[in-house]
Amino acid sequence: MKRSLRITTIIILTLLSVHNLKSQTDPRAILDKVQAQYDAIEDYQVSVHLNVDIKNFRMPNKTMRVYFKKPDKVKIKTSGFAIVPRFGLMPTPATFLNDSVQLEYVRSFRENAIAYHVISVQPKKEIKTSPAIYLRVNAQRWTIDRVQLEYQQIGTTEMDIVYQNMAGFWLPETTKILFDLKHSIPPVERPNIDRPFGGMEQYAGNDTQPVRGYVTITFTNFFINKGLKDAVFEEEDY
Amino acid sequence: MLLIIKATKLELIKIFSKWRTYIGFATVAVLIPLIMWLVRKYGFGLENQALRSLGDSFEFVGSLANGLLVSYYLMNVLWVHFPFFIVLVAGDVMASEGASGTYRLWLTRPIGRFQVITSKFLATFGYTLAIVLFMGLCSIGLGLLIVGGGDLFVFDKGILILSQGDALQRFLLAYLIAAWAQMAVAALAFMFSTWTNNSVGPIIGTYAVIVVSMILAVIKIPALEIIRPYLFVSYFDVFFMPFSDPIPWGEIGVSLLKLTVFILTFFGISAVSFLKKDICT
Repeated sequence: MKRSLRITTIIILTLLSVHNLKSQTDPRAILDKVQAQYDAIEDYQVSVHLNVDIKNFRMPNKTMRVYFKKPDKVKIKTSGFAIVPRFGLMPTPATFLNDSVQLEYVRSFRENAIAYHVISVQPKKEIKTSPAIYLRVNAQRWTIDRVQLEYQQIGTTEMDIVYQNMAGFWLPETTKILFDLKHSIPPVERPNIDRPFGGMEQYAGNDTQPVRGYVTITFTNFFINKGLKDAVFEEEDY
Repeated sequence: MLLIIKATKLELIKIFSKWRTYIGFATVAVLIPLIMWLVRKYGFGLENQALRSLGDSFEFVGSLANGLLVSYYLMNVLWVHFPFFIVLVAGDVMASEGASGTYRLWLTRPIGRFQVITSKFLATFGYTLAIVLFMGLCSIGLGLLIVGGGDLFVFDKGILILSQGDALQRFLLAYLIAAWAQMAVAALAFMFSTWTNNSVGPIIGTYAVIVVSMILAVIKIPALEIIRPYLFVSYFDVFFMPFSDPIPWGEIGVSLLKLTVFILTFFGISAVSFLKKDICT
């Protein structure tokens, strides 16, 4: 009797540890943990300061106001024009997940006494414009601390995110994005006597040089779950 | 000096009392609102290919098509088309006096020939400045009013986006520079105008010089490189320089200096020619 109880206990413990081990390397479970802390956010608004440093592309520093409301309403208000990194504003798992991707656990490692999981998000079908994404998840606070996007045609993008704790939520404070692009913007000259009307024509089809560039995003003035009205998302862009 | 100022005022009154003076103003006043309205209604195709390489990793927020961008593109008329309004008046300033025989009357007054031609030249400059700034005012003012404001997208060693405030200051500088460049056209037409008593000749002659010079300046044949520095149109692009970052003050200064040499040369030839002109027969 005692022996069979011991065996049963060992089996249960083994199953539990296997289950625990599996859940630790199950990418979906890891991302669910990350997503869980953002599920409580119904809406938010934040000021986003953007600094762009890309060769042949000069833009004044921009401050934008970003509005989000569940499930997927997003509004960005800015005076004039701005470029915004596609995945840089709020790197929640929901940003990267959809039906056309598959998840894979890559590895785990420790850095500065913090455990990290690396998960790959790959497109199911090979679509040239869809990037292969690698997410580095902080296993201590369950945040995505680094995102690496590998595009077949345009190059790679790496995002490093520094978080701040706002009202119990880990939200980005700064995001530094490194672009390693295969093709830069051509160095089009201003209109001159040789090309009085300027333009891109002379660069059409020409191969351009690879280029590295940075975009730094700083987040301030978060307002979370203040009950954003739908009208905010219906306003015309200006 | 006082006499020249008084004479210049009289010349300005004479210029602005002729209907042909208002052809340029009327064209600008009609054409620019029409263009702005069309842009507002049908949009403005931007060079999306310029941003293509960023398209997969960035989203574009807001619009680049605005009144300032249209105004910037409209500045291209300053190359060839806009000088027509300048030569229309500058080519007539001296020739019309010859045609109507009023020189003799003029020169019975206590004013020297050099003072007469200087006042006429200054009045021509006044007209040139007025019409260029009028175009700038209409273009930017109506652009902001009809199409709307925003950042200005220009090409300069790639893509340069200027904030609205920055762009407006650069437009002011660009139009002042453009007025100086157009003054070279006015001075040439003025010079031709002193040689004849019919304004058609100076108008066609100046326009022919501009078109031929543009052709010579644009054609990329090494042999033509030699004559390029001697063509005043080679320095016309100076009005686009304020839209570079940083502003190439040195380049602007050199181009303006060279244009000044052309202006003074044309004026000098005009003055010598007028001083020697036989007005009695």
